[in-house]
Amino acid sequence: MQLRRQPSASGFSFVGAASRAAQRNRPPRLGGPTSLHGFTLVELLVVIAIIGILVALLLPAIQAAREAARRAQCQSNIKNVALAVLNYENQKKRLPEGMTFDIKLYRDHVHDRLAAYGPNWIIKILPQLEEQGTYDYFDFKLPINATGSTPGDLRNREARGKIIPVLLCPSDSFNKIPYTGKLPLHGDNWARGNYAANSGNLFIGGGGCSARSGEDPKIYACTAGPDENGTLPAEDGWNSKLRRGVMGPNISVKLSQITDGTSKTIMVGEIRAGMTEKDARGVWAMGHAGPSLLAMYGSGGDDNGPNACGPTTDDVYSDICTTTSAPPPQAQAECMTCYSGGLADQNTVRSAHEGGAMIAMCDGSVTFLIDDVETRGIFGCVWDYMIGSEDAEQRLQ
Amino acid sequence: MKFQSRAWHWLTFAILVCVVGCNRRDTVQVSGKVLFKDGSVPNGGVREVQFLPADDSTAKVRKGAAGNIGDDGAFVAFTRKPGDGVFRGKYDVVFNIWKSAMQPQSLIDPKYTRPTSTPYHITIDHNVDDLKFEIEPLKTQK
Repeated sequence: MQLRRQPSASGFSFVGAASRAAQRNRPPRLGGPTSLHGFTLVELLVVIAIIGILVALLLPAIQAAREAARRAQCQSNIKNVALAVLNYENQKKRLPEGMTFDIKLYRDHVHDRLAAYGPNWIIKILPQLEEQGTYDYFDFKLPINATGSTPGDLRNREARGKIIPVLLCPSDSFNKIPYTGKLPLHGDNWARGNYAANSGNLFIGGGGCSARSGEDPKIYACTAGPDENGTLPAEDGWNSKLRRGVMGPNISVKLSQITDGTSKTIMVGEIRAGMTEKDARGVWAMGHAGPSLLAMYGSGGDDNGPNACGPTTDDVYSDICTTTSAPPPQAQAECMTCYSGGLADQNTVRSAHEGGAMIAMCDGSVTFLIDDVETRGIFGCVWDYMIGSEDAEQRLQ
Repeated sequence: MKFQSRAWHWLTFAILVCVVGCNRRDTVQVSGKVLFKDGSVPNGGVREVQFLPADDSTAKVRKGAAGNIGDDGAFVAFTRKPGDGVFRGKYDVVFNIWKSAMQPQSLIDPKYTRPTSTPYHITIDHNVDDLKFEIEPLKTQK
């Protein structure tokens, strides 16, 4: 030891001395005296292959863990939205209206001529979602979809484009593209949302509707809410105890009217944002079936059940929706088909999660609902009872 | 060598078991034709055949299936997604032949539209592609 230290004391660095010593005594190799050759190609390939297999084993687990985290976030968001609705109910003694509009002008043409959107349920609960600032920014004297250039118009345009993280489900990879469509009717700069309120097993729309076969022929399977006098027309679907939901057009229920039990009636369900900027599904500030309402998503229609995937399922007034029964292949592959040939709007619960979607009940509880929930073509299964708010023990024959 | 060949046998056996056993899916493909008794194809804005799970169905997943009836009367039933088939089990078969989706006035004899009165009750437990259903148009009242 003493001898070794000697050179370093006389000016050489220790490492330098060691490497000099190594150069003298053994070949200048990294592997030490036993490995006189380098790695062969086969050895390297084997090692790389093993590492590759390990990574391949690990990757799906990592992806699954990431999706689980996103799903948990999604669940927590819908819970917060449901609690905000219940806080609103606490103050106003009824749930917020799902969508609002000028009854005189638009009641008969809610599907395709609604040109002035009033505040929807999400705008109404903004103060309860700790978004008081956004709420105050809206100019409620003007339509939410204002397209003009007055200061009020511009404020509404800016406010509806506000990205509100609690309204977005991180599992949905399409919810970052703002919606622009049906110009000039809808306008542009609409931020996305992933949660929609239950307006019942009813189409949203006025004209051209009639009852589903086998049901009360006097009550139509469509709702457009109360008429100019503030009363509900006798044929409006909201009269149907089997079918009405909780937040409809210019109408909503009190918690005491949910005779099913609040824990057994859907309040808010998850939806997916449209895959392109022209698809109106999943827009938080726009009150309509598709953007922020669930409609006609049980028995009697073709949009029956979570993630229904037939060729013409969601009926949304949107540029992207087809009028034939041949959907674009990508929309079919992603289960995001939609149809605009009808006269009323329809939209079901959808999610990007594997095998189901989140729903919040009217008591604020959140459930992961599997796609395989029982649905039938004719009224009378669990799913229909979850949608209707006053249908306890009713059964059609 | 002897051990090795036996090992191969076992391996083949295991793979076979898996191919036969693990491949038994819960759904099967169902298709066929729906015609009026006189052989003509039903007309209407909505033409659909529905398979409603019977009350005593043992289907693993009780979900209704449906299929659109084409211009030649042919249909392919699916549950949630075109091509996913029908869950094995007992079904009541009903038909929706409507004027249009918005005006669901039935254009056929009402007995074919209700699970309680339809003459067609079938058990589905393997792929079928030649189901034949005959229905009758709405009797005009005189």
